[in-house]
Amino acid sequence: MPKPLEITLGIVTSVGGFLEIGSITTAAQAGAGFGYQLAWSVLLGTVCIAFLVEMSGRFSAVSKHTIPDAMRERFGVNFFAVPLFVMLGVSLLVLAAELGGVAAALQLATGISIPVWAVPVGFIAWGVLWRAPFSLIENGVSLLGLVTIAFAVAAVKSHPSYIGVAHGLLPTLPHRDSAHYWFIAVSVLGASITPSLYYFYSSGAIEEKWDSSYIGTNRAIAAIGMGFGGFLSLAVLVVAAHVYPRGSSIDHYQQLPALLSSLLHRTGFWLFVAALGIACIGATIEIALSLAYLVAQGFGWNWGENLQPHVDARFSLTYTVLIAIASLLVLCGLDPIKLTNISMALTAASLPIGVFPFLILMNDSSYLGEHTNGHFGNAVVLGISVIAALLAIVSIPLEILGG
Amino acid sequence: MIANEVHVELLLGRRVHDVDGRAVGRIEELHVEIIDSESVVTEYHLGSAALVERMAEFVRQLPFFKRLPGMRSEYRVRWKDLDLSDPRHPRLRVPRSALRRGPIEGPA
Amino acid sequence: MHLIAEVLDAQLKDVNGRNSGRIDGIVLELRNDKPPRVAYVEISPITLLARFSERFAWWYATFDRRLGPGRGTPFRIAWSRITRSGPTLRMDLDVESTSIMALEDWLRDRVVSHIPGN
Repeated sequence: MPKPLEITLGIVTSVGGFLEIGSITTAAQAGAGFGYQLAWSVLLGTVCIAFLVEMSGRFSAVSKHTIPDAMRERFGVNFFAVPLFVMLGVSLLVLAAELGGVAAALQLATGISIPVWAVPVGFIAWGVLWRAPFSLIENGVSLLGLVTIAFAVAAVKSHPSYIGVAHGLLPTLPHRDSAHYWFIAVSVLGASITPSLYYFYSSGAIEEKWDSSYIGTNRAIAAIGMGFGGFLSLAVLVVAAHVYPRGSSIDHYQQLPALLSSLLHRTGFWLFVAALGIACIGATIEIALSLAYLVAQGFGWNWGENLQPHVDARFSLTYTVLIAIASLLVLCGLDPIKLTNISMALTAASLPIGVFPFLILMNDSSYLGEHTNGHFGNAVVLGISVIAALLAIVSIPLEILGG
Repeated sequence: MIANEVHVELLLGRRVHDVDGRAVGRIEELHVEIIDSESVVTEYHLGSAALVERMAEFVRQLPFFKRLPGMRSEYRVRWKDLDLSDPRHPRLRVPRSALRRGPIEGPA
Repeated sequence: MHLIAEVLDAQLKDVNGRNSGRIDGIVLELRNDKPPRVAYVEISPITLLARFSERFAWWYATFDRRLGPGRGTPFRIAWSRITRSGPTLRMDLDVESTSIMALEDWLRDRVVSHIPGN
């Protein structure tokens, strides 16, 4: 495929695949609770994930290693076990939240309750992974996810104060509900900076056989794709600020369709159902695959979405088991919104555990030659990860104590 | 199974004491050379700086590296100076003061 | 060569370039008046688990014995059969001729092969 077409496809799929239940819910909660005041957290999260995605693509294209592969090799299994188990635990909750998001969309469409959909949705996600090649998974669902552009349309139709939005891009202290403000900020950061995304991207670069000639392509996809994706998150926040009374909280998924239905009426309702369902099924598939990559690469198994399951049985059964566990969590009746809030906050709190060793690898010339990180990239990623983790450590207990 | 064997992965991180019972550092690396067509261990690297060398070589290039706590601590121990008869408690056959810091030229 | 940085936990490939697990352990032969010799590498969950807990390793070895005859002990390959190809270590064997894939084969035969579309 010609490089311009690859770049275009990469950007389009990054945009289409950016939103999921975490980013939709947390951006909506930010807008509903604090208007445009938390727009800075969306910006910060987007900048950080753009840097991380670019780094992970560059790392794999140049070193021909994926991130988990290099982490095990460089740091040894005793150290690797820490990010492995932390990521598995936190990402499993995120996986269940995404699966719950699909079930919530189906509940909105049909009236049939969420737990009933847990197993069918899990089966569909598993079926796609079992049968479909990598390119179909990466591109197909993400292209369908372009329906989430409806949030951008709704944001424009809400006639926002663009100056107000611009002010919100600068961090400010809250005037009220400080604990809740910082908790939502942390959740937005956790929703944006998901390790499973850049780990998946790293494995994807190997699946697609990228080499050093893809460095420019990778940079364009990361910057423009993640940038536009972050813009969609910001659009959700802007719409929520318009739709919900200031200071309100979003505790039930039934509140979410108003994001589009209040501005786009009946069409908006169905667009929301489609956006939520498609975005979350894409995220479910991607996270399950990402975790299977993490385990298989860490232990040196055969792996590859383009391989038949009988060739890489351990890899295939890993994502099978993970989806089964996530389905079980949703079947047990765990509320998708609560699951989302907890999992996003825990993601933020655990960021340094995944990011620090990755940054060490990104500065290792034995892997990257002349393509190691510059000081600016190191500073941005390190700074944002530490800030997110510190905020999470402080705000999570306060939020729990505050009920 | 060979008569007298030691597992490297179980040596990693073991604290080493000298003949006087003083702690020297943890085993962080083994240097191997080919001698007479055999791959043999010629020296053991002990201490925090050896750990950093293994995990994040670029940190050693930082101008303030030697000022970081523990980063001046690195010993290169010749193979004959380390007693592995009890792999859980490796001991030096010489006092710590007899050890050299920094790389040793050539095999022992 | 640095044994821990360059060998331990490195990816191993077989003579056909197929992933064959990671170097989970390295065995040195101690000799009188001679430097220790690198004798074998081990590729086995038993060896891997022993780095965390001997009890976990023992439990896994008990399960491993059910996977076939001669199982229950770590798979070893002589260091002389390992070569370095860039950052990758290669053994001069076909992984299918070893017991490295015993768990993968067992899962394929007992589970995956019964699921349609595999």
